[in-house]
Amino acid sequence: MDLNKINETKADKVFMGFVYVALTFALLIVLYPLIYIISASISDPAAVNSGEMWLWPKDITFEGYRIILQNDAIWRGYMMTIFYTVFGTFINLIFTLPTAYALSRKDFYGRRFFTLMFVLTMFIDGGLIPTYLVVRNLGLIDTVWAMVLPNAVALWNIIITRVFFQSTIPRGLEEAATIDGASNFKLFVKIIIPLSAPIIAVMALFYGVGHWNSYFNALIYLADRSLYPLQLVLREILVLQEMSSNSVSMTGGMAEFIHSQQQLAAIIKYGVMIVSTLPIIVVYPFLQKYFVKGVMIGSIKE
Amino acid sequence: MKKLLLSFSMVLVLLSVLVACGDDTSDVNGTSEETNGEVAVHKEGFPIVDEEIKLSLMAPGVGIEDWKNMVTLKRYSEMTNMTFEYITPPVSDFQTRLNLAFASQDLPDIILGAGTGNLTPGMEVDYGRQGVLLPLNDLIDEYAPNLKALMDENPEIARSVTTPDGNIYSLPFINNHPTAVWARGPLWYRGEWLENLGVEELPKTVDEFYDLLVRFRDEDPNNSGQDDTIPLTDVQMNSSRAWLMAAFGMKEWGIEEHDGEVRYAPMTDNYKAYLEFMNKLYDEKLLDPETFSQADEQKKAKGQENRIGLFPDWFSFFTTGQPEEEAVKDPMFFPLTSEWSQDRVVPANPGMVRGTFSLTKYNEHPEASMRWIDYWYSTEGRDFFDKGPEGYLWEANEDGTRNPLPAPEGFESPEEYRATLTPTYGITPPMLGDLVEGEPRSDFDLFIQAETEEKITPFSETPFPLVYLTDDEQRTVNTIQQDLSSYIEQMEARFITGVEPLSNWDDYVSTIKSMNVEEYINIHQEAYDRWAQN
Amino acid sequence: MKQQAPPISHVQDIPRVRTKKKNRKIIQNWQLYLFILPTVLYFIIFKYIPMYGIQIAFKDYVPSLGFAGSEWVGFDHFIRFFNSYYFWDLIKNTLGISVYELAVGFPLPIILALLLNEVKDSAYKRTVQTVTYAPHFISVVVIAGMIIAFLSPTTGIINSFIQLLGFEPIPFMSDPKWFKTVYVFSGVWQSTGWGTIIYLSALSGVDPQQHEAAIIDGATRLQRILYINIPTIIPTMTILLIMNLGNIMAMGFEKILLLQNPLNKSASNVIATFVYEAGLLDAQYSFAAAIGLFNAVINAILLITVNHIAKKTSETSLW
Repeated sequence: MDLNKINETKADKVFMGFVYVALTFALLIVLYPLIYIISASISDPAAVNSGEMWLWPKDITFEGYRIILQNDAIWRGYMMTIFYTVFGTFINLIFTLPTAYALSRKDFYGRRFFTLMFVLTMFIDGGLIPTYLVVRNLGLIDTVWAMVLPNAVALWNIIITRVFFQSTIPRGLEEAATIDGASNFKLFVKIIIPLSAPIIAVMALFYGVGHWNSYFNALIYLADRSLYPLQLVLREILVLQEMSSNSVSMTGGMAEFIHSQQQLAAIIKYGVMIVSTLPIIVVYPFLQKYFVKGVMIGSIKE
Repeated sequence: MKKLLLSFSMVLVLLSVLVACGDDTSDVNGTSEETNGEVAVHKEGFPIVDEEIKLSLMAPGVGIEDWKNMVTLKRYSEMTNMTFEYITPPVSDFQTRLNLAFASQDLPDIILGAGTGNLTPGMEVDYGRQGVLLPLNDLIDEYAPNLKALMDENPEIARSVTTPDGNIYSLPFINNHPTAVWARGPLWYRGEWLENLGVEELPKTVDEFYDLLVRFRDEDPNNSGQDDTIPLTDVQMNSSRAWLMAAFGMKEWGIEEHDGEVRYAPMTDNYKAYLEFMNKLYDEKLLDPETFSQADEQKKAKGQENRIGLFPDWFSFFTTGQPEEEAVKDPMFFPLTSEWSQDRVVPANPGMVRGTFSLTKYNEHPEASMRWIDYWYSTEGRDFFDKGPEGYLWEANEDGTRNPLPAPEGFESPEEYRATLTPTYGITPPMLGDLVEGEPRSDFDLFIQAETEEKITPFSETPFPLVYLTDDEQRTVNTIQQDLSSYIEQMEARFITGVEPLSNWDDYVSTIKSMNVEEYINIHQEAYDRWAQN
Repeated sequence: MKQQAPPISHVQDIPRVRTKKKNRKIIQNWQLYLFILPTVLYFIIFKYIPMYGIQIAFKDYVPSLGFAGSEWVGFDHFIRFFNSYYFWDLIKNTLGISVYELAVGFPLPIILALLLNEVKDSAYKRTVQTVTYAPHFISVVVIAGMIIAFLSPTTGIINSFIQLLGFEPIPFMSDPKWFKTVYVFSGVWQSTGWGTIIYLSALSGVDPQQHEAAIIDGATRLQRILYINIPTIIPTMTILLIMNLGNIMAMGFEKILLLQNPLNKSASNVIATFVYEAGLLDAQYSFAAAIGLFNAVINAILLITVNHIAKKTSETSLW
């Protein structure tokens, strides 16, 4: 069945050779720093910082992982992050997909108005304080909703999804459906959604990763530490190492505190990187299979 | 297109109606319902109030333990009959949260431990004038006997915390520790290197200093058999600058005061001499070529590899990675003299950190709040909040001295354990910083005290007192300072590394002048004069 | 707009027919309005209501007086920004870094996606995809630390390699000439794999029958990429380019700040770090808002222009 194989010409073989060389080159370039991080996570920080450790682990120690595993705050943050990611992404999809679909319809009166209304917000931004006041007046402060609703939908993603619908959903599908007497709602749920696996996967990934990496809303809207997501917990530990233990108006107590935080950060910095990103990296290969669903659209077109 | 514009303007009109509802800055503070005012506050002893009151308190959190679980605060609540809702955003982003609280008027009753980095003198003046922060003068007189006694004893305190309108809006951390005089972490020599080279006496002049660095470079002081030594290193000169500039008769990399006269040091001839000297060190590889490009991690790694002879840090073992007991062998840098500065001088810390305790206008119980914090300024109270109650970090011996207890299982150090007991860890608390009487002191503690008393205290001068600027002054200063700091920071690095030859000095000075430095100096002169009159 | 005037008798008819048709469209598609309703509400509540905050760019914002009560100062904050000694440096560096980033960072994910798309469903493909995607998750702090470590003239691996080839080590971090390159290429390293995702999903929209037909006609792989795959992703490319250009003044400050030092600052001093520095001195809300508005105006001009061009030259545009 693979036509590619049958008709492979010499030019194609040379070309595929080039593809593999280029991809391998990209792979190696990206791989080196990743291996570095993994090695660094189980090496003595002194060896890492002096440049002695440059590929394989040196003076192996699992101290960093031991500290991470023992830290309750990190694990509680982990649970909260998973919750925000799953719940938040679900809300995002509910907002984004129908909106993008409506905007993709040529016969949707007002699409230009709505698009402009959304795009305008890219440029006119009221700023942090008024937004905070809105969230506060809605009573969302210190609730999980503050982590979800202020980011319920992103313009960028609406636009990308709209472009996907415009370029992949065959025109005339709507008309055919309306002639059959199907409502827009039915059409969307029964036909459009099943056809859109690739963009749903991409959106889930984009939004999911956004939630996974975000700390700023938590910082602004949450006071209860038990609601903190992982990134905010990590930020507390890692950002301080950038503070100099030697600035003006420092007191002895502060200097010692920052020094101990720096030592802690040096030990766990790389390990925490791995522990906190592994789940979201592992998700990706599972989503990749949805990127090859082109076949279905082709068959429906007939 | 026209229709589109029309519909847009319709929407905007609609929104402006909504805006009217959105823009409310009313009081949303949670504690405002009951207990309006009159709760009897005892002027002495505990409890402070008979009827329990609850306040909200915002402070930087270090992320080790929730404040509500800390034993010192729990006990103190029982003693005082005052309970708190603690809001403790991470110290790394405390500034963001505090600014947001002010801007949205979503303020707690008490702001504690912010320090001047977060609650700047400009904010104190500004929010004080607006009435957002309460004036504390009368409260101190009436309800803070301990603090009042400290202020009577040392008039510097009142002078440093009184804003131009005569009010005090924030209480300081008052530091009486042996290291209180340090303007920043000192420079340390690697003792082992001095021993290997047979150096008996530390350099006391710029020339002797230069000679020692040359020996560090050439004579293999770390016995590695390799040419791997770096005589002097720093991260962007940030910590060593103050000590080296002092050798050329300057106390601060900016505004400083000499005999009542305010000047801007980076445009003086003394500064040019400092740059020339540093440029020589850089050229001859006596100053680390990576000084301006490395991060703190790289500097520390070099220290741990025993490759640096002189370096800045709070304590030398932070950089060398050696145990504390070994650090007594690394002597502190001895202040230098030069033809520019015949008298030894060292910049000194005013011994206070401002902005550590403020009350907001939403506070219904300012009297009780003041009494609550006053205890922290007493000897008994400070010891309690510093080391916790007996049985955790220490136990009392029969003669009244203290016996330190080991940290329980699961804690890396006694300090980490202390952080779970008391909030005075990792922040600048509003209290009296001092040694606990009767607590044993290590050899290292004694070494630090002796070095400080020998090399810093006798020569120390405050570069510029803790002053306040008025609103208008502050605004002008902010505008000028941003460009100015950025410029001198870049030019210092360029002059030292030789990217910019020192023959361009005159251009440099005239650029500084074009940035309105005169006005900048005048404002500080006026502020200084106000301070001196007080 | 300028149409030939139709015969008079029809002039009144046509709008009526149009209105009717429009009304029918609205009624027929009433469910689509329900689809979009939550998002419209979201934008009104979280974006439009807070817009009153924009006025502080022209005021001297005093928290206790609130937004409405603060005093108007006109363009004072803008003038202060324009008069800054570093104003032109800031503009030059911000635009320089953004354009450089776009020039290098925009095509690379497209190329990588096209190449990956040629490899059909093998473990190798999945490996390359996942590995190139991973760096997106490394935090700025760690990235900056690694950049400084790798590029150190004495101990860094890259300079060791350069010396191995017989060249002098390059002071990447202290020579301002290198700053933009270091910043842009470390960004490319981090985000190229991530950027391919969107194109890979767009490529899934290619109709396999088109390829089959082309193969039978004897088209080579390269030809099929050029004439089938690339045209399929052009709408996505266009939209992303428009959006990127409309964001050209927006730049995160954290990574730049972590890589900045006094020697490279002449190249790394950008608007974002300038605002951050101003905020360190005191919370200067109005000043920051004015600079934000200035950025937004430039972004908006760019976006509208590019969108206009795109509309004229292709089928795709933002609105």
